[in-house]
Amino acid sequence: MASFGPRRHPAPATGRDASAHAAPDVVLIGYQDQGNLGMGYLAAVLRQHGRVVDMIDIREGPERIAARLASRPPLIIGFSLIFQYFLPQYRQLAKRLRDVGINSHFTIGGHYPSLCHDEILQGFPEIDSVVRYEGEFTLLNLVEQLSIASDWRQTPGIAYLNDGQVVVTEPRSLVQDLDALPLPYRPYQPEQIGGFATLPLLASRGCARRCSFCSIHTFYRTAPGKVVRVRKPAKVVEEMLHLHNTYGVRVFLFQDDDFPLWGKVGRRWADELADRIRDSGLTDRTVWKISCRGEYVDRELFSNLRDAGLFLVYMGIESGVEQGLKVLNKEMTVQENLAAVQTLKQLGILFSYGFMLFDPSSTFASVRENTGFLRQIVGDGAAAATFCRMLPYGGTPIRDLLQQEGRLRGDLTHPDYDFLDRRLNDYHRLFNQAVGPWIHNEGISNELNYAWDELETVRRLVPGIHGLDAYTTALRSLTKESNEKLFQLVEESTLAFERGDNSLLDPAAVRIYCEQIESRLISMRNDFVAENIYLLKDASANGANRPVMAPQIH
Amino acid sequence: MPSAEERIAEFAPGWSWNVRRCMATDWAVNYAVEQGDPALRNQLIAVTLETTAAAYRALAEGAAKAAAIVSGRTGG
Repeated sequence: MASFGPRRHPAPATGRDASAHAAPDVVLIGYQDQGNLGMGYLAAVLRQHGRVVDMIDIREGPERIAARLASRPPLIIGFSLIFQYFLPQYRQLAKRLRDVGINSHFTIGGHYPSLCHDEILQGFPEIDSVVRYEGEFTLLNLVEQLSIASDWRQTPGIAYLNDGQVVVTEPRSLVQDLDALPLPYRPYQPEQIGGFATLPLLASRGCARRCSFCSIHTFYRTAPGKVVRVRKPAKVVEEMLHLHNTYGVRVFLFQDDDFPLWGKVGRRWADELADRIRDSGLTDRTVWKISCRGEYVDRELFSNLRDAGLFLVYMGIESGVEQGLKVLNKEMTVQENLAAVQTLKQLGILFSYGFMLFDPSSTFASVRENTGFLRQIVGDGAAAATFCRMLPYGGTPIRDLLQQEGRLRGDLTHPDYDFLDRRLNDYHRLFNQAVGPWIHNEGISNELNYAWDELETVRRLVPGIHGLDAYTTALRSLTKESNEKLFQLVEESTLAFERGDNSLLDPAAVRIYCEQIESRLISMRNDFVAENIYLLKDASANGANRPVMAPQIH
Repeated sequence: MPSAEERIAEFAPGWSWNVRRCMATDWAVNYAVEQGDPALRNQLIAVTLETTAAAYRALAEGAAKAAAIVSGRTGG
């Protein structure tokens, strides 16, 4: 049985399940946020080949996981690590598992282990091997070798330590035909947006760009094989139908590195996808979200996608300053990003974005300039303001650059860097502590954006809803108010800090303000939901064959 | 008269306010740790330091071995 959440779906017909009596061949351990498609694909391929697989959310904690596995240790425990800052938690778990006597083969995969396998092997002695790059068939081979007590060290696509020296085997090619893979194994209850079930899926893998802060392109370019691979639209829609019919999914979250809309080929692909979604009847019952670059946002194309259910577009905007975009190697201009946002607003499609208010080129002036850019795109309350600081992860070009410049700081798990103006280091530290309640994961901006996502799904999927316009206006007003207060804090506190005054960065005052905004948000949201309680209950229970409402132009 | 929240909980609990949160940022992780049990935070810091130290120790040993090989001090 899998271990995500209290409610579970029966496992699909393929493969076997780990029962109370049989130890699984493989246990995969990782974060299970928004589903974990990487683990899902690994498990699906293993199950397709008759292997028994269990999946565990690492947030269960070392004690519970150790207790579960100690009585029936598997052949392999596979750790799925995406970001290096999770490494201590994985290390802590691995140590605990060894301490209770689990002698399974420990392997680890993901972006960071693939690119920095030497750091992993040297610093993480509990690990026996690293599965590098796309791991579906490498992990399968590893299981096959270990199950017949053969020499697993010959497995292509891995790295391991031999007498203290790192050994890397022949790299394995990326999966060239994504449609040949089984659908991800998803033995868990979908998360929800409002009352609607939601699951992630992929239409492609790979990214053709070379953003300096991102290790994804390094991950795909270092392995042999074609970097960007796209599924057939018919197969994507087949999976959507499966998820809708099996799990009742109404909101699809495409988690592609870069949704494949580039050039004429991408446009033809997207038009076919939209046509097939419409033909399948899903348009009336479901909505979907994509992540893509702003330069793809074309009015005609996105109008077509919107009419096929596209309700939310995430864009990696990253900077509102030309110098910042250059340092981050985004290969886009400020104006292009502004135009993309404008087009989405005109088409009535929600947007969210990644934004690095702080990057290695930042100065106090550029932070204010970036804030001005954010005011241009979300100053009207169309979305809540969010941002972060660029961090130099392993495998990224910018980490190498910062190292050359002598600015790399931090440690293996929390890499960091000095700003050119060292005063900005101090400012950022205080700023980070103060604005936590606004922009971190549990911050008010996240809650506001969640409310927007929920509102838009309701608008599209529940006809005849009462008070929609009034709630929309109120939510936009509250979002605008919160954003403006945040922008003012950034602008005024940077100016004050340059004068030697850090009193504006007051965590207690920020927390009180955010609690007030949260209280108002939940109150207006619950009033709206309660007013429509029977309609919403009915819609989330069986919402098939309901017409999609025309999106509003704003 | 029940509040809006109570009506939702009674008639459609699936629509209770329950924000999806993603642990996909280091800020989120750090903040979560800071809000949590101080013992957990200390434990994680200890493991971080230990992991980092082990990596640097191994890298230093590797450099020393390489230097020894280059200088001909070993047969390796």
